[in-house]
Amino acid sequence: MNQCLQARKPIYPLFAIHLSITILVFGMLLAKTNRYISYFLLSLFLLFFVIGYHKACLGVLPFMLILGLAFILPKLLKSPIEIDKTLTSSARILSFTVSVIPTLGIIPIDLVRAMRELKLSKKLILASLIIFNFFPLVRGEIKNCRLAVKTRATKKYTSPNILYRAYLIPFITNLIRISEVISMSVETRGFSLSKTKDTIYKFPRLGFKDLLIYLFFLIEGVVVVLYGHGSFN
Amino acid sequence: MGKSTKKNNKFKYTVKDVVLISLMSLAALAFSGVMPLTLPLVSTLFGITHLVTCVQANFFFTIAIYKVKKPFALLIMSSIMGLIMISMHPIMAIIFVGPALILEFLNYTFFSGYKEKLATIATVGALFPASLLFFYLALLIINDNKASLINNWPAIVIICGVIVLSYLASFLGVKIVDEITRVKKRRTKL
Repeated sequence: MNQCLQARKPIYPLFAIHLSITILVFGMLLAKTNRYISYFLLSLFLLFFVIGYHKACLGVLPFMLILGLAFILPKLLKSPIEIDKTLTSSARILSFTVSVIPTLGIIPIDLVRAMRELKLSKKLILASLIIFNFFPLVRGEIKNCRLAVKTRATKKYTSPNILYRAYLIPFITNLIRISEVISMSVETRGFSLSKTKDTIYKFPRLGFKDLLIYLFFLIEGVVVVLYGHGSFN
Repeated sequence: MGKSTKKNNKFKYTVKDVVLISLMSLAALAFSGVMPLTLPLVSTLFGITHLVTCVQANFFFTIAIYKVKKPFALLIMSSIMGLIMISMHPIMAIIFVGPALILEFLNYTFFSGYKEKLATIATVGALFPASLLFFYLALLIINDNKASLINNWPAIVIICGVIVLSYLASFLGVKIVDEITRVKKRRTKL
């Protein structure tokens, strides 16, 4: 994930991932109760903002606005009476964007260490490490391709032949090259998919604060879901 | 090298393979990001989500599978995509992983892997049309009104579009991989 979105003092990485999944599930359960879902998501957003995830919150905000409006506007223009149904679909997508916040704040190496501590599959660890580094990598590659097109002073940028030759082929070649470089660098640092014993010298510590934050979010979610479903029925 | 070792190597994924498969599935996911914008149209146009994602997904899937050339690569990639789609709707994950499982089985029985161009194009290109069929069946099973949308004329256009675009994207993916490997070979000769 992008380094500038990482939290100052992130909570225990596995707790953060579990929180993301839980928020998403609670969001889906509450999607039909318009009032409760809005309270729930707003309170979560503000809480994350306060406990040090402000960069991730601000990073997610444009996506929230764009996706929220993209869902609301077409349906509102079509039938303004069915506002409840419109809000349900937008609530689902908004809960997805809020659930991403704790995961965005994770430091990738801490996640890898925590996963190794739990003796999870090495393939899964490798895949999750790539997920965390993928978006900055791709953004960089797209920038490089654009720069290359500009430096060659290509004017017909929209022509399919130019897009194919100057943009698509370099992009794919670079992606394949990146995958080769990543696998080489991972292997030279002693990572292998075979069942070899490895030693971990540094573990992410599970503090009292992490546990407190995790339980607080969990209890809040359960309470709101119970209230929300009570009112919905 | 014994026969059993050769067979094991055919199925054994290296670090390079895992990295390439995860990178390409993420690229497919990232470029399929336009899909949520079409969700408001789902209730009026049958298969619109498949139409807007088939090109990107098939393109990146083909590149990874044709490079890796190992069985079950399609299943792994569609499972990664399905994992993300569970968050939107569990049925969306099923309609992606189900066809991939059947196609892998068919591929293994008829082509025994992705060594040939035709095998890759035929298998990966069939993923989205098969997924569309699964989608229709899922709608029928859960008694959703959207299943009747298939009777409308735009549905026929969309289904044809999905089939054509899927195979076109697969063909383009294979072509690009061939081009890249040709350039690599030329460089090593020099």
